[in-house]
Amino acid sequence: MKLKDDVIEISSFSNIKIPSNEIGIFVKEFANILAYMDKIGTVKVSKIKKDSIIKHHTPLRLDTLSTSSNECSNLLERVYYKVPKVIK
Amino acid sequence: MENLSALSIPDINCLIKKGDIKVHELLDKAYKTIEQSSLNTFITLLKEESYKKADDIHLRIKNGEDIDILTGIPIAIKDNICIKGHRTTCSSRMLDNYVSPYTATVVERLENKGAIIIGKTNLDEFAMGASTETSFYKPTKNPYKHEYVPGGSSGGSAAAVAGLETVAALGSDTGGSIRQPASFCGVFGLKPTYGRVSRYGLVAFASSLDCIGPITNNVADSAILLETIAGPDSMDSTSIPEDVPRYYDMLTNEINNVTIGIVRGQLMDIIDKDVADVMEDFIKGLKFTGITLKDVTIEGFDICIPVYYIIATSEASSNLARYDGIRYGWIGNTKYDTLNEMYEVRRGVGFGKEVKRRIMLGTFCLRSGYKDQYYDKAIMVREKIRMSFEKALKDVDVLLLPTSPTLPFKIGEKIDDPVSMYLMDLCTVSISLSGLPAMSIPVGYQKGLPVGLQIVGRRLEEGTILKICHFLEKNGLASSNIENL
Repeated sequence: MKLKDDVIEISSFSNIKIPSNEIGIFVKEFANILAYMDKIGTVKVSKIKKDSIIKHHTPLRLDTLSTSSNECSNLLERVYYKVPKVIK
Repeated sequence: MENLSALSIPDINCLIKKGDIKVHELLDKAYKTIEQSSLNTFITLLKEESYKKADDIHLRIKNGEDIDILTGIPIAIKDNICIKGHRTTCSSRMLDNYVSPYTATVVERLENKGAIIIGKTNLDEFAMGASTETSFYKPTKNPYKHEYVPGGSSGGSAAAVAGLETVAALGSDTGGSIRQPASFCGVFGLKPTYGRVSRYGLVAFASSLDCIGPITNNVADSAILLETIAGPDSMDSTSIPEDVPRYYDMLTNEINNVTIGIVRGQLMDIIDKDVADVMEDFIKGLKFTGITLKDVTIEGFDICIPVYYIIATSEASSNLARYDGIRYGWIGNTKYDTLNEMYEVRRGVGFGKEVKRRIMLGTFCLRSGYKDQYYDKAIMVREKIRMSFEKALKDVDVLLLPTSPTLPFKIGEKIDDPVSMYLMDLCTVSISLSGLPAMSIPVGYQKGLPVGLQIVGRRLEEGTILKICHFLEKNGLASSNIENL
């Protein structure tokens, strides 16, 4: 029952409408998948440092100022950028 | 003219330069093969534009201009990579009528070298799958046995290369989506180091894992494509600011002082006997090459699947939140009382079952009260996995392990069993989580179906992988002409 409520709640958070006759299928699949995912609870990670995660998995470049590209320069009108019309 | 696959990019380049073959003939051959094929590899063909480019190249050659090695080479692009003015569907009803307003960096770099993009290939919806069956349009078939899957998610690209419909293709790899279909279709598939190739213009699935790479019929073609598409890009903040070696020039027929670490241990207990037998035969062959072999143990392969699926689905739930079915995709003619109701219905119909499942799983993992237990824990375990690969690669140049735990399976066999389908990624996701480069190479044949093995290298050492794979290919241990192995 708890998982069924979870599935209904998550579908709402995800902005996805699940037809009532399909909820049971999702509940069954979620039960199997979550049982598998729960295996990570057994792994010890006390020696892992957060600095190391940032260094190795989010290798972002330094943010530096640069002049605008030619494409943007063409759109510059006084101090504003004029972009192509989207809605006719 | 011979089959396209019988010719490498350098071979075709020589023929074009000597005037022995015209780019138009290459295109005729490719499109004729595609049109006669029943593999369902392409979603969109770019025929008109391709022939216009061929006309330009013909003029340039006629005027005595020097041409690049990629000039006139037909290349297929996975349909989650944008090309300005053309559809980018991601094989989803949600993007069925989406026309990209810009071009991906990888496509721009290929086109700058004169390559001709002949069309966009089928994939699992939003690259979520291991069989190309979750495509909204059609499942792609395995070129070796049509009732079997080609792997996924880049199944269209791999089958198109193996089915001789294109000279080469680009795919994307989040948890094995280049390597596994390359293995199932008997071709070469290279996932570069995360950040080596710009992701600008690749529709995001899991941003900390997504990579673009080549799928080819030989190692030289992969080297040429990788050196063209790789390198820093100001449009992708995660692209690595390091120069790209000339991979093609690094390929020689001899290698010295190479040690390959054979990953057996726990992994060999999990994979099918058919795959294990091919790997053992391959290792026997390696012993005659002068390469030093060393057994390496990496524990925790079974934990990589849950870690991958927690991270990938969490990132997917965020990345795919942007699709609201307002400007493109399935709209329907229902009247809605609220904006939220409209989003829910359009996303409910626009996305396929697997995509909805993954978005919801990711939302579950990121939900307040569960994030620590799932997502936060998963990123810690991910670092532990990366460290174990780093340690394993300390004393060896590359690692060798299977690409897939099984042979290709039948269309429809696993589609209703998500856990069983997720387990297909067992051998590939650990490398994706570690951000390392790896190439799947075709090394054997079981029950009429191809088997691939992965060569995994250190971070940014794609050159070492390509050199070793080229050596193995030249010594008859790997070939896309798999029946003759």
